[in-house]
Amino acid sequence: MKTKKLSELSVGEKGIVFAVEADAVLSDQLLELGVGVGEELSFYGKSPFGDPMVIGLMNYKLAIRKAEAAKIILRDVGPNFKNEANHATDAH
Amino acid sequence: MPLTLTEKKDRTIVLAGNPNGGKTTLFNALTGLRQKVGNYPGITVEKKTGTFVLNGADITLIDLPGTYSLSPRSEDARVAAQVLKGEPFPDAVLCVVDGNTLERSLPLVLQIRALNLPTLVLINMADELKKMGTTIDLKEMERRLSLPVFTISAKTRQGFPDVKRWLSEKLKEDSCPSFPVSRPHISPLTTEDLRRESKAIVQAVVRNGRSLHAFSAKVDKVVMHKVAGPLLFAGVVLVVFQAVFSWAGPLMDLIDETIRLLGLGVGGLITNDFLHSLVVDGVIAGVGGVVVFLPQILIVFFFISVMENSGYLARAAIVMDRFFSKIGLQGKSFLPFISSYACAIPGIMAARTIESRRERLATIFVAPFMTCSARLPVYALLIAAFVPAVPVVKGVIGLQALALLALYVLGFLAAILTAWGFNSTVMKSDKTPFHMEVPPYRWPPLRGTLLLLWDRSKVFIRQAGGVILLVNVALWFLASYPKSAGPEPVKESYAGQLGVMIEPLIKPLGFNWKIGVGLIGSQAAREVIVSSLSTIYSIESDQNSVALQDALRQDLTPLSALSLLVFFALAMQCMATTAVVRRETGGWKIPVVQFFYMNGLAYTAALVVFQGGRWLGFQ
Repeated sequence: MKTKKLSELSVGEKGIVFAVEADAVLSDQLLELGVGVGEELSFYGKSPFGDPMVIGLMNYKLAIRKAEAAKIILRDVGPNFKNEANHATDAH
Repeated sequence: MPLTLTEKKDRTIVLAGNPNGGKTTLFNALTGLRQKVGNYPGITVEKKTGTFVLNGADITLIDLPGTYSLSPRSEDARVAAQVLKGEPFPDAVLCVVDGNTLERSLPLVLQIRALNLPTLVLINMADELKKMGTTIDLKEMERRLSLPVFTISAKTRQGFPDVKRWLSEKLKEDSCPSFPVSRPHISPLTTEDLRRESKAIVQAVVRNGRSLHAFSAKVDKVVMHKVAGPLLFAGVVLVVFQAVFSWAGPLMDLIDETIRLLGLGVGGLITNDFLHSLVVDGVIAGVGGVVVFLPQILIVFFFISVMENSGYLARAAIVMDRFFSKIGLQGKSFLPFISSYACAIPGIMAARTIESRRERLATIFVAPFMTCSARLPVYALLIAAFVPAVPVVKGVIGLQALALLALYVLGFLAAILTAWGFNSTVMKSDKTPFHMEVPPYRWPPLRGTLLLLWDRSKVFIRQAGGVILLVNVALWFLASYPKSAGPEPVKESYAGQLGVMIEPLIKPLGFNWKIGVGLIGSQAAREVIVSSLSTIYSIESDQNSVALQDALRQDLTPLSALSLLVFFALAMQCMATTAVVRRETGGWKIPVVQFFYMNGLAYTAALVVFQGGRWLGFQ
């Protein structure tokens, strides 16, 4: 199966968490915020200097450093048509 | 032995929930002006409590820090867990949940449910949910949680009568005393268990409408833009500084005039020389000299509160993370820093959200460098006396506001350089993880902002009428006695002798004995230098009021005024902050090192400014 790190996503792409390759403490911290296997994450936008990145999940937004995002492996990566960041400039 | 209800006099209800869930808005709506800050019994951590009346009885409400779980990973979560699990058990728990983020919020609800306390789940933001077309099946949710669930809006007060009805029934149940709470030993829930159950509940009960973030996405296109974002931030900062000088002006004149008239009026009534001088010079001139700065301080608090509650500060924190991570801090350090611009005490407590102990200590160590509102009277007085009120860019920013801005930048730079120095020497370590929720933009709650301003006014007036008044009356006495017929009676007084004694130490910084007296007083609280100078000048002059600024120009040159400003920017002159640092760090080591480091730096920097300036030929 083709996988990609969260840190490698482009703005407007989404994917499903396949694995979190972090130590137990960080994994648990991320899980409390909803970042766990099976969760759909979308790359919502970059901060002005590129890092941290802002992701969308569970109907909320989370800022996360790229170093941490590199530990989150995604599957089924593709464009996110629901992304509000893309829709923001649309007529509605 | 289980207590009976009659033995238990106070009824306590706890408010728990995630950050950004509207918990504090609900707390403000229920308690209004009846709030106070105190210590949790047993643990020396500050808590926010308030009271409200239910069926004629006073009920205590505790506002817990917002957390995502009860696992004690941050100081905030540790506090929340201790209150919920500790004794005395709360009589009821109100779990406040943002209806927009139910799936992320439910794990905490499930953890609290496992504590077996009388618990009510409140789905907040009902007004937003309705607008977005999101629906929640409450019946099904209650069935799955085995807990009562109500929808409310803390902002519009929708659903409040239902909550009060539930509470009064819970607290009335005499047949079912709240002690002892049965807590069957259940195997601890793993985070994965909690997540799985939350997901199942949300899938069964929530029908999502439109996303709340569409509007925020548009705003973020500007705020998080590479060029527009920093420009906007600079613009906001300029507006704040300009406001401090121009908006506050009329109000300050009004207070000033009132105090002057009060001095004249009261002074005219008192014929006894001793009492006349005590009241007019010691109390009215001294305390009045400080009270006049209240409008400026409230403007600073107002802007910080609006920035925080609108969601803007969270963005700024995220942007700053990249830079802060290089100097041993992190994005979450930004909130304590901005809070410290109002007052270092809430700022230092706001550092509790930082999980990494090393980063938290570094944040606490440098936070008092941020220009707190107690420095503002000193800055404002000296700037008004020595910097001409001319515009730099007409109608946009004046020279005085710019001078003030420069002092704020100086404090910030000192903090950053200190953090950087520590990170590259004694406190070196690897980067720790950083992640932070980005809340949607929301209108700041008007009620909450007004309550904050009211609260800060009370604290400020109490400080002026307490510590500052006491120090000042003592100073008035020391500056008035022994009576002397010489040309400089104040210099020969006790206070004057003290000032003359330390003069050799401060002369290299450009300060004379009078400033020295003020500096001694300012060790209790920074703004005391203003009140003590005000009193000294008032005793010196025969008139009932003196223009403090004119008198200052006799004692300070522009260069020594600059030296004094630099000293105040860097010095640690706040006993309350030192006490809080000790409490929050759990020992004397950090506050003592901090005290000597900051004051040493202040002395050295003022020395360099004054001697360097003289060497360059400035006066």
